Amino acid sequence: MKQLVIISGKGGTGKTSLAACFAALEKDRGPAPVIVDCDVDAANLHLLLGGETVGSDAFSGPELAVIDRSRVADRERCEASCRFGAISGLEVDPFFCVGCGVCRLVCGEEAVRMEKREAGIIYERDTTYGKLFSAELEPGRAGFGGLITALRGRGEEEALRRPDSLLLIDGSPGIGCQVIASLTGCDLALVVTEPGKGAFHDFERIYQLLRFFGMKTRVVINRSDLDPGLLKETERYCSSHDLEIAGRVPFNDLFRQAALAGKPAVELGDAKLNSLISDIYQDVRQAL
Amino acid sequence: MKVVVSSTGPELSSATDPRFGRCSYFVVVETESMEAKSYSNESRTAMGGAGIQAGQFVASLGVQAVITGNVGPNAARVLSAAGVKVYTGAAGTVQEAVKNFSAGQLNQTATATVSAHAGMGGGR
Amino acid sequence: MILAVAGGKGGIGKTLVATSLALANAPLQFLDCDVEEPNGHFFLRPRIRKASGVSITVPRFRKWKGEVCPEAAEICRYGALAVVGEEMLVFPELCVACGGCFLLCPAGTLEPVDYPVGVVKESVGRSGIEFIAGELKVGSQRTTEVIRAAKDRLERGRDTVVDCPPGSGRPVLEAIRGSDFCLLVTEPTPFGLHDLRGNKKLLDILQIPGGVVINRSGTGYDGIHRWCREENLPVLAEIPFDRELASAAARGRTLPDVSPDWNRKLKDLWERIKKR
Repeated sequence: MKQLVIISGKGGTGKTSLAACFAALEKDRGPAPVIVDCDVDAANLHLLLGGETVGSDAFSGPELAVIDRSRVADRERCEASCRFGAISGLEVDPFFCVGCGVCRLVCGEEAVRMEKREAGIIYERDTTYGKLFSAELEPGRAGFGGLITALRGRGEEEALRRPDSLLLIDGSPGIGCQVIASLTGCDLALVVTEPGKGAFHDFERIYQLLRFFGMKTRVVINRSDLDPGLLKETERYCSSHDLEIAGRVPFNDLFRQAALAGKPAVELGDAKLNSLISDIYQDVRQAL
Repeated sequence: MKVVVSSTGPELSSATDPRFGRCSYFVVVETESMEAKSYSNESRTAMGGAGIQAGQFVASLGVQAVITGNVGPNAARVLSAAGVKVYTGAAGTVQEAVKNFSAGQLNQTATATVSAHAGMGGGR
Repeated sequence: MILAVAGGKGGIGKTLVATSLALANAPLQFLDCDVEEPNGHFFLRPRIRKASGVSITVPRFRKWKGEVCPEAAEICRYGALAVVGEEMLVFPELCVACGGCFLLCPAGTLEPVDYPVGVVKESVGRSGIEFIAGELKVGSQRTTEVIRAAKDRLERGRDTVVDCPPGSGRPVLEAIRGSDFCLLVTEPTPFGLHDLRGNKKLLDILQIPGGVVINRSGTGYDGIHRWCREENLPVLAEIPFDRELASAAARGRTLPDVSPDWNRKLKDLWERIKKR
């Protein structure tokens, strides 16, 4: 099973749009890919791939503390035990509690029980382009990394059942816990960036992370004609770090139109865009 | 020699699992007799540090070597502290992997062969 | 007034809105809480005066004490401690610094040491804006600690713009908490609407009043407006879809830089929010 993750550092660079196009192209190549949307905070891939939900499972986050105040012997000590300030008035604030269990040690095992709480839902969808696993997290909830691991696990199980199918992962944004969980163990990371100051800064940070993990990497520069100077800067950075650029996509309105139409941009039938993206796809597929 | 193979199933005929910390089963094999015993990997769904927990578990089995696809840096640290040797690049079934190991065809590694699976923990 | 600017996903224009608002209403404090991808400095170009490290307290095994403590490894829910033979291994990148292991182990087995997770930079930017930015160390997962450390640097009682992390997860909650009002930046597509719904739920949890800014507007999709009407969430500003604007923002130019008209509009927006 090959695993390809598409990431971006900075959000909004067109990562999800490109992931949808890759799903369509991979489907044409055959067999259909198994797709995992690890961007749980802004899970949008299903809006482009369509299809219907065929299953859903509640996902529980880490166990959180629940205090039985009648059994707390030393109130003050109990309240002060939490380093995360989650206990006030002997009530545990689920948004602050990290589930470390220290209050159980201090307040007493009889006074605190650890309880699993629903943190989100994992959805399984059948789309024209392949099986899609995505998740929706309860707003404000912790447990990102864990959810992504579980989500990827579902995708991996499915992909192992279908010989030669690619596991296509729409990675999480940023450089933290979520993105590490979404790219660990992948065969190749495709980084989507754009010639912007912020995007370049984030691109450098995501590159440090990829180098730290020793991952094979390809780069796509989206909206490549946004600023010639910054494009050069990005290209120079790539060549001096031995990063191969799989392609450049000039500013266009097609990704937005695709979002409005609810399908991958390559299905809009624009010959120029299709050939650009197809070239990028071929390059990445060969490097896998 | 007693070795353990990361596996997708509990049998000698099961396919090896390239992951160590998050594999489905550990199959312990006596290389001379090919006698096997399997354990389901409890750390598979751990919130964090799966490789570390799996490493501790495997060390407690008293095996001399681990045969797997890839091993992360955390698991590598635990296994090395426990004096368990790590052989990577396992493919095919558990039985085939053990045969390749006995034939000296797998690479021994002292360091990680994949990135840290450090992304699951904490959740904050 | 503390005004938070949040948005459904990265690249929605959140930082552009936050820095533009700050510039139009300067001088004030600007807090960059997008610690994984802090970008506010590209627009406000601060000169760094002070950088302070953010660290958490993690255990270190004192081997010479000759004692191991399996209980601590067992209680650690993050797998940051392992006992192998006569050795305790610590994996500080997994540690959340709950302190549980110190409570359980015999005194002296473990010693507390600082483990760096990020940095907070303080500086003065354009138009005298006090610029404070948290930056997460690459590879670290302690996002909320860095956000909290950055917020601790704020001077109370002053006008402040908070640039939040993208999304609607725990870090955003941490960034928005304590704000008087929150602007949610979105775009007129089904993507934008989907993410806006999640953001709105956060405001409901925290009971903070909010309003919406539509970026890249004027493209015929009215889903955002319709939903905002249903939810009684005011649409307070719209930024048109414009290639020149996108290109200027990519170069680190804010809305007031592009047109003085925006200066007036954003001053007016600030006053309107303040009056609510």
